[in-house]
Amino acid sequence: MVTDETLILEFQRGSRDAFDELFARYREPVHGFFRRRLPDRQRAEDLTQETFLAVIRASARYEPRSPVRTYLFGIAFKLLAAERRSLARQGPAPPQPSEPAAHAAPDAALWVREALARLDPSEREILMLREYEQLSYAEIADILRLPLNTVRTRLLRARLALKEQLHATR
Amino acid sequence: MQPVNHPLAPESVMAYLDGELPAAQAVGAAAHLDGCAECRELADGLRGVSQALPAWEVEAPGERVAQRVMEALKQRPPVPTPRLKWFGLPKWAWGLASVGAAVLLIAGVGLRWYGVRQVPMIKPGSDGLGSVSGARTVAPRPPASDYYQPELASTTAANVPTTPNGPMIARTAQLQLTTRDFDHIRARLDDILRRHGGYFGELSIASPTDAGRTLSGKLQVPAGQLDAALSEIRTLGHVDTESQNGEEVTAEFTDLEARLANSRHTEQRMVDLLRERAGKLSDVLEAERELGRVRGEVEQMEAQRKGLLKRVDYATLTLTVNEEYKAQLHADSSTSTQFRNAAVDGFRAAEGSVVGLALFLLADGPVLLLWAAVLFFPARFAWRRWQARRRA
Repeated sequence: MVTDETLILEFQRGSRDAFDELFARYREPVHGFFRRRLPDRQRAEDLTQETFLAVIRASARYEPRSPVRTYLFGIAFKLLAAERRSLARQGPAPPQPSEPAAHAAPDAALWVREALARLDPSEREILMLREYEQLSYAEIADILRLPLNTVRTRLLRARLALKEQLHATR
Repeated sequence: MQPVNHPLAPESVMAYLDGELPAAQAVGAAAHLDGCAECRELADGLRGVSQALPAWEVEAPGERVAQRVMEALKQRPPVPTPRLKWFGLPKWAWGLASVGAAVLLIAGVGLRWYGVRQVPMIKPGSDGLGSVSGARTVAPRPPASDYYQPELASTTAANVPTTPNGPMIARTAQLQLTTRDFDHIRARLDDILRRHGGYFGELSIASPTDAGRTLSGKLQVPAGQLDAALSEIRTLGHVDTESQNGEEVTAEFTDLEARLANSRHTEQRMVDLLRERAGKLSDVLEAERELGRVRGEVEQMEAQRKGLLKRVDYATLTLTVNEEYKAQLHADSSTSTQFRNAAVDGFRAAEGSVVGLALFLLADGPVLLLWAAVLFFPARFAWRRWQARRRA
């Protein structure tokens, strides 16, 4: 299988097939990243689109210093931070009753969402990057600009907190 | 759980489950987990969390995302170049850039004028053929060791591209001679090459029955010795044609160095990843395959670099030596053959004269037409005046 790094370098040289392949690989993960963090489905799709548009615009400047996955989620994380700042300026959003994003096993999904919502935001972010985006500790540290040990400690704390909630439920 | 009582901290248990422990530590962690119920319980709890989280699934993105991204992709220029980012600059920025370019040009011309970097010039010789001017003031080219560091060839070398200290010129020369002493030409060439540290890249000798013999070869001579070697080779016969070229390969070398450094960096990162990260066997095999591919690229680029350096260090002299042909009397030439040859010679002469006339008209016709147009009216005026005086 052609690596992501090879694909983006081929895209840099003008190959659209390489971009199609990259898009096919990361369309759902990037969308999942936004969808789990934003209440509005429309905005999640907009920001998914923005992420790939940013990749297209910045492809000439890409240098293979970090994996494409880190590069992509790094862009996504910056867009998410900007979105959160914008939402914070607008004030609290009205409740959206029809917004459960889960479409399979709604009870379990709801439990996960609520349990995650109870975590400390910085720990939750690390846990989600690890569990849903499958990023390594070093990649998370790179994206969040945190020391590796901090990532490890917060990740353990988040998991232990969730474990406690899991035991309490059962 | 009290971490101080365990050789394995809870973070390490978690890192082991995530495949984030180096292989050596992962073996120790597995052994500890086998024997420690408390740590096993922690591991089971962490696994339970990781198994519970995927229950939160999200729907696939709508088709409009793909449509918009693909539309944006279609509008993207085929291959973006750094020049594109200059578009859209205000006029004053273009003006400033133009002034800067003019200053650089003037500075460059000035430096050239003062002889910092003069390129060898070819001027017409007395025989109407090209010959190299003797007094060259080329700034001394640094030896090849200044261009690259041999230890960079190893996989552990620093991943920093080497920048040449000066211009890298790949020199080539072409020389055609005619000699009477063809029998000793090979030995004399060998002697010249040995004294100047060169060698024959290619060599062939042709001995047709009804023409003079010909020696053709490509001589590789150290670039610094090319002029001296050429001077000696010229004495071997009469110079028919001679030319020299210098191709600057600095940009090509710098580009190759940068790509090589990138590939080495990638290779080093993959080696580090394989060493430090414990993962699935299939991932490791995939990483090793990728590593093999990157190493192949590095070796290919190193070969290209060596070739480039060789072209810079060794000038290529394409030499043709013709033996002065002494026509032999052919006893078997029949009268009909002589007539035929005369006819062919006659036809060739006629063809040559027609072609020569056409070439003359094409080359000088426009100039003649121009001057005819310019001089027509003064000449006609002078002619009419002369006629009028005559009638008077």
